[in-house]
Amino acid sequence: MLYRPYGPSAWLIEDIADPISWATGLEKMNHPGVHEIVPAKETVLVICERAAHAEVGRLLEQVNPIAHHDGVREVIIDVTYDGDDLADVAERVGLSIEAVIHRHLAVQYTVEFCGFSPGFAYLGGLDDELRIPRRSTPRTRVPAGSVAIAADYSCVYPSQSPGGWHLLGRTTAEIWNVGRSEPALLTPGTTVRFKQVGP
Amino acid sequence: MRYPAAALSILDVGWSTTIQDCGRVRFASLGVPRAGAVDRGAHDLANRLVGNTIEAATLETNRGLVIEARQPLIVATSADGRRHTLRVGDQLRIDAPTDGMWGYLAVRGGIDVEPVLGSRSHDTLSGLGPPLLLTGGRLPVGNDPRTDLPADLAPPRSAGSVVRVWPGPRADWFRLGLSALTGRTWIVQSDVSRVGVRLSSGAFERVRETTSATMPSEGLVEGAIQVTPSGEPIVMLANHPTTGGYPVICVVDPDDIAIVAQSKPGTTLRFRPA
Repeated sequence: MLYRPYGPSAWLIEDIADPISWATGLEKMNHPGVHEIVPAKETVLVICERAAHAEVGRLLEQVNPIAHHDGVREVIIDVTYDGDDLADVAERVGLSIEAVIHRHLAVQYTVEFCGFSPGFAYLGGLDDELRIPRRSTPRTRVPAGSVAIAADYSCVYPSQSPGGWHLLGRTTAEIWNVGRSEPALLTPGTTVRFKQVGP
Repeated sequence: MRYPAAALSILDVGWSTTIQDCGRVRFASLGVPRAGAVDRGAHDLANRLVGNTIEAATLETNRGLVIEARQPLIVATSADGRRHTLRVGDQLRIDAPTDGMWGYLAVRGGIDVEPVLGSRSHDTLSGLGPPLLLTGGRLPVGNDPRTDLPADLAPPRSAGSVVRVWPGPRADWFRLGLSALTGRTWIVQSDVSRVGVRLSSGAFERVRETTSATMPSEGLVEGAIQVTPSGEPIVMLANHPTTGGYPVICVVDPDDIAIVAQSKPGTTLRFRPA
């Protein structure tokens, strides 16, 4: 594990295998000077009070990563596989539409991190055969609940937004709702399985 | 309803006018941008002039915002650092300072829309928070804070033009490190926003090449300067996304971020090591 200053009021933890376990361990320490702990693909950003920068740096020496096995949330998301890009994805990866759906359903995903928009979770664990780059031209409007894939990840669009991922289907699950005590359904570390409900 | 009636009308919403406060904290790990005023100093100042705490929500505008009081109001504008007492029916136009991008209107009691995730800021990336303001709309104002009004007006702020920067986490990806940025003058490009300010392109010789144009996404902070593959530095402002895929060469000192936020397109900026 390495950490380096990220300006005068943040640190970046890197060279770690499991950013979520480091983020969880740091959260448990509950330091009042720490404002944000942001796990990403290979790093954890720690934003803190400027006056506490050195102190938080020393705190990082003492973090015990906490593996997310205990109390991990498991979410099952019902999907109707009728996405606009399903046929195109099948052609690009050289599989039938049924095989694409089967492979998307067959694995368990884990939320590696959130970003892009509120509640947008990067679901790691996508089948190797389904890994294709983003669309060359993003859509200006992707509806909330769209289930999609791009690169190493699957996702469910939490709200209507622009988007360049390949649309496989849709769900009625509420991924993001600021009225709930936990606004995001898919928080870092949550495991996800998709379940086909149609067509 | 805690407030009896909408206290002010928006006669003209002007350009890029939104409700802002200190922003949303503790939700970045869910992908929620902080948002909040892009020039926190100006927002804080306007609030202090009317006796509010700095947490009170203000109106942030680029120009051309015109309001009308529907009840007696004490307001302050950051562009001229002045306080005004408005009677019912009085109108006021709010602009950015002549040499800046953003002006703030504070109202004694604060703009009292419903907070979302602890903040009244409109998030211009995701739309979170109060909806976009419309001409003809009305806004509620909170209860009088029962504080004393400061006797003095605000001293003119010294607008420096040299921005202090700290090394970023990926400074060592560039052959000259920080000096690739500090050695010259930069021009602010035309697409300025609450999200970031793009600068003219420069010669950034990468020591470390990545296989793709981007790198694995990592967290962003306000003031982070990302360098795009074409060599354009982008300075992240208050409404930046929570993660980004370009290497961060340096970070603007929080005390100087307002210099960048207030820079108009076509103006020049210089950076020096903090």
